[in-house]
Amino acid sequence: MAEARGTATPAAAVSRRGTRLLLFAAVALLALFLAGLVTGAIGAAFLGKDAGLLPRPHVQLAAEEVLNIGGLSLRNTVLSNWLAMLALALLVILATRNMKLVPGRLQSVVEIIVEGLLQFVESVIGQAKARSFLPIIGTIFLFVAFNAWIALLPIYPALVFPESVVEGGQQEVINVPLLRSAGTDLNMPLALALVSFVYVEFWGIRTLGFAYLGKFFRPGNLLRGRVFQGFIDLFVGLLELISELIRIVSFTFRLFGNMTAGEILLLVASFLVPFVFAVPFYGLELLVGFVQALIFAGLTLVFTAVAITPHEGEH
Amino acid sequence: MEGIQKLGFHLPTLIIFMVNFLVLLGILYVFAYKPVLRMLDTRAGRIKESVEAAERAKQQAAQAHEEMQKQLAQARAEGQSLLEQARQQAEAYRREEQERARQQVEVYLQRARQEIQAERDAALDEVRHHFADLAVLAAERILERSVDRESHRRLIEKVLEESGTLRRS
Amino acid sequence: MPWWAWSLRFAGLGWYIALCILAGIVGGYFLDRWLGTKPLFILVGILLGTVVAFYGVYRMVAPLMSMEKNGGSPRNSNTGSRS
Repeated sequence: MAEARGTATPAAAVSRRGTRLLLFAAVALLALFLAGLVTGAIGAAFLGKDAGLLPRPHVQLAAEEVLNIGGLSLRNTVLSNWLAMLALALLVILATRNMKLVPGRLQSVVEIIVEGLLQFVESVIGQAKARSFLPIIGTIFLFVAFNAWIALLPIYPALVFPESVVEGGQQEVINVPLLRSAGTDLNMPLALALVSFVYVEFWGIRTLGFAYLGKFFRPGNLLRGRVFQGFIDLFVGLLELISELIRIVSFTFRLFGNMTAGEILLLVASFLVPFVFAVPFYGLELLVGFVQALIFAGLTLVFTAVAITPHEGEH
Repeated sequence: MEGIQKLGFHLPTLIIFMVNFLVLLGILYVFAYKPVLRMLDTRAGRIKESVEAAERAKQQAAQAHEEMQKQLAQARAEGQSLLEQARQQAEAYRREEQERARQQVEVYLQRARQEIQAERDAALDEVRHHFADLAVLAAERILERSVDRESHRRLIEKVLEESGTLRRS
Repeated sequence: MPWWAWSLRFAGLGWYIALCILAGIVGGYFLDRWLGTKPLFILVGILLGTVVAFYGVYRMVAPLMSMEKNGGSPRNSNTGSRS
């Protein structure tokens, strides 16, 4: 046996070692999974115990206030947002501190990100205008994505402090997280949606001037005495305005819903089976964060592109 | 309003998020978009430059090659013409020399011929002279012996014939 | 615009329909409470909301349908296409 091993090629030895390691890892993962199954809520229920390893998740849509500085209430989502901003700022500042023609690793990462975003913007709006649209669109993307991704760090569920609340006439101790994914706070998607809305309208007016406003308000036919057509026009303009405003709602709740659902999914998955089980969901949330960021930025981009296109027909 | 409050709407937080967004926008603009785009432009410019330089170098090389080719062709043609000239000169020289040799030979031959002629003439003269002497001698002898007319004539004829034969040869 | 941009423009269609109908219902409800005509305006509101919603959807989808018909790229008209 020893001789056989001695005569084997190094590659074969490595591959055998790799196989063994893989096997070991699989067994360890399986053991962890089983341990999670036993210690989690599911196991507890089967074993007739009161609670699993983790306390019951407490789902609250409104983000919790964790700091109050002179009447300014700071929510855990804001802290998380600052953390994300800090990470992003550190990344870009370190990467572009002294840029080289032949980029280093960090610089390459940031360059790839910015170039990718630029290409994304270019694909919709064309090369000529892409550079003036890149800052806002890119920032929306990075804002959403980094806020979603940073919340997947294990410190998020770990940093909690207990707080007793009265719920249903019953004193209850819940764990309030110190950090919470910013996307799960309605204000963050709403703020972004408002920024996006203002941005779209700003570009529309800037590019088309008053002709842009003519989309929402067309008194032309009414003034010329064509009453019926005039009212139809007014109605259509109103419709445009409504759909523009409803966009804020749909932007807000799309992001809010996705982020919150992801958060709850992770929470519940870890609660039911503490180990290993939630890992695929973390991967999923990574993807969801990316996709939502892409959608938010893409929608803003597309609607801006529509807004700056001169519209034909009645003015 | 109650419902939206329950969802977590909170005006100060909304404003904080907006401000955060704008701050992030500023940071990213200064530290990401601007430098990276500038770097992209620089790089694109560099690449364009080097491509142009390469193009120029290629053109120059092609030009130099052409020049060289031309010079080579010229040199070759020159060499060819030189060679041709040399050959012609050699040919002319050879012909001239031949001619001269031939003329020389001609001259020698002429001279030899003349000499021979002269010698022969001299010899003939001498022979004739001898012959006259001989004839005189013979005549004297004949006269002494008193030869008849017919024998005289025969003798002279014979002598003349002989001399004619001599002259003719 | 790339193909996905066109599909993105319809991302908020559901919200548009829902909110239009909801606005009709809420408006009708308050009108009813104000005028005391309990079920009348709420029904009118539902009807109106639905009509408005579907008209809006039609206007949004119209350029896409013209694209289907022409087999080319949709014209960039202002008619509709906001979601």
